[in-house]
Amino acid sequence: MAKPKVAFYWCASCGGCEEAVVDLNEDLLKVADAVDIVLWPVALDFKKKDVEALRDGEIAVSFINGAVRLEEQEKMVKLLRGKSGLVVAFGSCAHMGGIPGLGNFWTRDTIFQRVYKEVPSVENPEGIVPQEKTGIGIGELTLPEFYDTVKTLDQTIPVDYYLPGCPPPPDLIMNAVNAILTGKLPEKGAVLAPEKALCDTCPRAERKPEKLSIKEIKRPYEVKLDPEKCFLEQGVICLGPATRSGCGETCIRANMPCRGCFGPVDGIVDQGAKGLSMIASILGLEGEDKMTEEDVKKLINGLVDPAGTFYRFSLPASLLTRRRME
Amino acid sequence: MTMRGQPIRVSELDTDFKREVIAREADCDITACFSCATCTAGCPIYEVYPQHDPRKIARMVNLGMRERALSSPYIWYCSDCWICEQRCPQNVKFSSVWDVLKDIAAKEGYPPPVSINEDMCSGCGICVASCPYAAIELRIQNGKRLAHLVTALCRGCGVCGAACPSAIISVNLFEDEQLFSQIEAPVA
Amino acid sequence: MKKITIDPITRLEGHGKIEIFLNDDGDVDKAYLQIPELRGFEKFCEGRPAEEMPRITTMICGVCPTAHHMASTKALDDLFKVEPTSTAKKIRELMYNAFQAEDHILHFFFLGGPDFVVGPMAPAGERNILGVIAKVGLDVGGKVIEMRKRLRNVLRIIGGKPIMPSCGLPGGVSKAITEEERKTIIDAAEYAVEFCKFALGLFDDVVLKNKDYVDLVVGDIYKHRTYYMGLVDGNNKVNFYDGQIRVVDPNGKEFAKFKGRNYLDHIREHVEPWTYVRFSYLKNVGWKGFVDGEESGIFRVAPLARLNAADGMATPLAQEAYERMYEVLGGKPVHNTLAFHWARLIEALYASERVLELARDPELTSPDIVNLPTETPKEGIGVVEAPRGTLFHHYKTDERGILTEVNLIVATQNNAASICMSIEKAAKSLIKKGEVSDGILNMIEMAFRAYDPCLACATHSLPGRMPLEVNVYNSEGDLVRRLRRDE
Repeated sequence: MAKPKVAFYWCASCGGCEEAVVDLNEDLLKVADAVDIVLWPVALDFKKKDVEALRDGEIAVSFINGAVRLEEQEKMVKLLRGKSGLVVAFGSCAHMGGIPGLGNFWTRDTIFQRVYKEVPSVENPEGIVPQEKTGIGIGELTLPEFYDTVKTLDQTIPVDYYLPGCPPPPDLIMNAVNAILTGKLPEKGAVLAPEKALCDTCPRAERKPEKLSIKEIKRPYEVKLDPEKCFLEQGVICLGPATRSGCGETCIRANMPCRGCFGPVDGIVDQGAKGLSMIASILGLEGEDKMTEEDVKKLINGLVDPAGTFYRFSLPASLLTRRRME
Repeated sequence: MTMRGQPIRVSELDTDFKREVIAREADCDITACFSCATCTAGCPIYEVYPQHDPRKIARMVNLGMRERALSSPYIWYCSDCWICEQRCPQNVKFSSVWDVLKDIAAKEGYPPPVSINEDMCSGCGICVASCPYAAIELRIQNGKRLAHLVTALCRGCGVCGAACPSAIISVNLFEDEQLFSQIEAPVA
Repeated sequence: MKKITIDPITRLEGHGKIEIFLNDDGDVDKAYLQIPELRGFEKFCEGRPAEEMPRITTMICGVCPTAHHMASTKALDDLFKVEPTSTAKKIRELMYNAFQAEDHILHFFFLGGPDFVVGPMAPAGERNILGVIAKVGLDVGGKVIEMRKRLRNVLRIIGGKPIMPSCGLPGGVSKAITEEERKTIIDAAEYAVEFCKFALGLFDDVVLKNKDYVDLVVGDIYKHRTYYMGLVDGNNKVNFYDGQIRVVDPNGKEFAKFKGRNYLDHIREHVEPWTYVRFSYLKNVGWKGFVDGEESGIFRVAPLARLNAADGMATPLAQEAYERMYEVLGGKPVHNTLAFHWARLIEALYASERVLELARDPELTSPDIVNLPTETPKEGIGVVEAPRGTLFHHYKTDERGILTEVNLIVATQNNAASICMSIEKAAKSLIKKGEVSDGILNMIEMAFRAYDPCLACATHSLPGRMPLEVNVYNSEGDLVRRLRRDE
C-alpha cells in the first residue's frame, strides 16, 4: 500500500517548528519511513507546480507553521488546502498568530519606517524601502507583498486540527502523527493537546495558598524568584491558569512564569481577555476594604503592558485582532 | 405549588412569607407595594428576560407564594442597578428584596444558577479567591485539587464564571453565547 | 537578456531566491540573492517590558534562539547597569557554548557537510544526511543525533527547553544548577569533545585528503578579500559569550577593537529596494557597493571570520586544530569561503571544551545566581557571537523599563553583502554561454551554504531531494528551458 503523503510548509515562521520536528531524533527516522514527504521547502524540491500537479486531497496531511504575513504565504496555503485531506496548524503562529502577531499593533508603513529609516545604524538618506517591483535596467526583481495585518492560518484557510505551542513539544508531535497514521483522531477542530489548564500539571500547584491574592505586582526581575512557590503568590504575572497544559511546564521548571504560548482551553474565545480578567479577579483581595483610591491606582499601575502581556501569542486570533489603523 | 396558568389555591399560600422577608430587611416593606409596575418598567434585566419581573415577584411575596418565588431561577439575576428602588413611589427597597430571597433560597437548598464542571477543573483557585461569599473551596480528589461549589453559600453573583480562566463554571443565562447575542441585538 | 530564477534556495529564514541575469553571450551579468521575509521585531517590541525581551527575541530564530536570548539578557544587564553574579556568568557561558557546539554540528552534518562528504556533484538524492550515513556508516549518524541530544538536554536543564529557552534575567539567571545536573552536563560535554575530535578527523579524511575538494576550497571561485569581525577575550582569543569586538583588515592587521556599546561608531547598514534584509558595512570605510577589498566596508562574520579576527583559541585541542588549519591553508587571514566549514568544526571543538571547563568549575552550583537591579533603566546594548556571526541587541526604555526603541543587527545581516557577492562570483565563474546543470546549481548554492545563513533550518532533506528549479527565459520573456532537480 502506498505510504501516505505528508507536506510541511512554513509561513512567517522562525524555523523553531522545523527544529521541533528534528528534535524527534530517532523517531523522526521512523516517521520518514512510514510516510512519503512530498513537500518541505527547507529540505525538498519545493515547487508550486509540483503541488499543483497533485490531485485534490492527494496529500494526506499538510503541517503548516507560521503566521500569514505575506501574499506568497497566503497563496501557498490556499493551494495546499485544496490538495490536502487534512491541514494541521502547527505551532503557536499558525494557531493564534504567535509572536509575529504583535506586529498587529502596527502597520506595514510604521514597520518599514522603523526598520529601514529610523534605526540608528541605518544609512539611508534616500529613504529607500523594499518594493514589490524593482527595475534594475537589465530586468526586474520582485518581492511578495507585506500585508498590514498578520493572520492566523484558520483566518486564511479552513483548518482541521491544531498543534499548539512555541514550539509544540516532541511528545505532542509524535502523538499527533501517530493519531493521523492510525486514524484515531478526535473531532475536527480539536486542539491536539490536553484539555485542562496548566495549573493541573504544574509542579507548584500543591503548595498554592487557599486563597490567592496579589498584594503588589512584581516584574520578574524585581524579586528573587522562588523556585517552589506559585508565581501568582509571589505577585508575578503568570498566565498558567489561562493557558492549556501539555508543554510539560518547561518555562516554570526553568523558574520563569508562563506566557501563554499554548493558547486557551476549549470554550475560551479570547485568551487575552480571560488572562486579564483572571488577574483582575485576584488583585488586592486581602485588605480590599481598607484600600484608598491611591492604593488601588498604585496596584493597577503595577501591571505594565497589559496588551502585550495577555495577548503575547494570541493577538491575531483574539476578538481585538489588531490595533485600529489611523 | 400553583403553576402558571392555574388558579391560586389559598390553602397553599404562606401569609407569613411577607413578614419573614420584612423581618430580614426592614427597608423592604414589601407590603407597601401596590403593583404599579414602575419597577419592572425600568428594570434592564426584564428587558432581556421578562420572567425577571420585580412587580410579579413582589406580588408573589405579598400573596405568600413562597415556593414559587424561591424556586424561580430569575431571582438570581438582579444586576443591582437600583433603578427599581429609586423609582418606586412606595419607597420599597426592591434590590434588598432580591438579596433576601436569594439568601433564603440558598439556605433552603434551592439551586443557584451556578455549576462547576469539576472534571475539567485545573485547580487554579482563581474562583476560590474571587468568590465574595466564600462559596467555592478546593477539595482534593484523586490527588488533584478541584473546585467545589458550596451551594448553601452561593448567591449566584457570577463573579466565578467571569473569572474562571478555563470557562468551566456555568452561570445560567450568562454564558458567552447569551451575552454575545445580547450585545449583538441592540447594535444590529 | 535571460533570467535564471532559483526559488527557493535552501536554509534561509522564510524564503530566499536567487535571480541570475545573463548577457547576450550567455555569461552572467549580475546575480541577486533576495530575502523576501520580514516580521518587524524592531517595531513591535516597542511598548514591551524590557525584561520580556529575552523571551520574545528568541522567536526571531528557532534554530539559534539561545543566541538571541543571550544577547538580549546581556542588553538587560547593560540597561539596568547591573553586573551578573560570577556563577550566573558561568551558567550563561556554559549554556551558550553547549548551544554553539550542537548548532555547528547540526550544520556540518545535515546542511553544509554533505556537499563534501558525498561530493558537490554527487546526485542530488545523496547530498544529505542519509548520503553521509551511507558513506561513513550508520554509527556516525547515531553519534550526531546522540551528541546533539545530550547537549540539547543541557539547554533543557538550564533554560527549560532547547527551543525558546527562558532563564535570562538582568543581573543573572533564573535557575541554579544542582550537583546532579552538573554530572549530566559533564557527561554531555565529554561526549561532545570526543565527537568533535572525531568530526575534525572525518573532515581530514574526507575533504583534506581529496585533491578535488582541496582545489575547491583554495581555488578562486569561492574567495573574497574582506574585513573580518569577531568577539575576542582579553587575550584576543575567540569567545562566543563576551569580550570586545575586533575587526581585522583583508591583510589580517587589526583595524578596530571596540566594546559592543560603541557599535554605532563602527557599523552602518545599507538598504536596497529588492530585498527585505539590510546589509551591514564598516562605517569608517564606507559602502562602495557589492565589492570586496580594503576600500570596501563589507566585512564578514561567523566561524572563519572569528578565527581570522582572533589570535587563537582559548582551549588546547581547538588551538591545535586552529594552528593546523592556518598551516594547511597558508597563513592568516584565510579568504576562502569554503574554509568556513573547517573553522566551524574547530569552533565546535572549542565550544565543547569550554562547556567541560565550566562544568567542572566548583562555583557552577552556587545558589547565588542573580543580583537584583537597583538602577533606573535607560539604554542597553548586548553583543554575543551567534553561530552565524556577531549579534547586536540595542534597547532604549522609559524610566519604567518599557521599550521605546529597539535596534537589532542579526548575525547573517553582517554576512548578507558577502553572500550576495559570493553567489554572483560563483555564478559568473560557473555559468558560461548559458549552460547550466544540476551540479552547477549546487555549486552556486555552496557559495551561500558555507556561511550557514541564519535560520538554517535543521530539517534538511531526509528523502534527499534538493529544492531547485531553473527557468530560462529568452529576451521576450518566453520560457525557453526548464531544469528541475527532483530526485
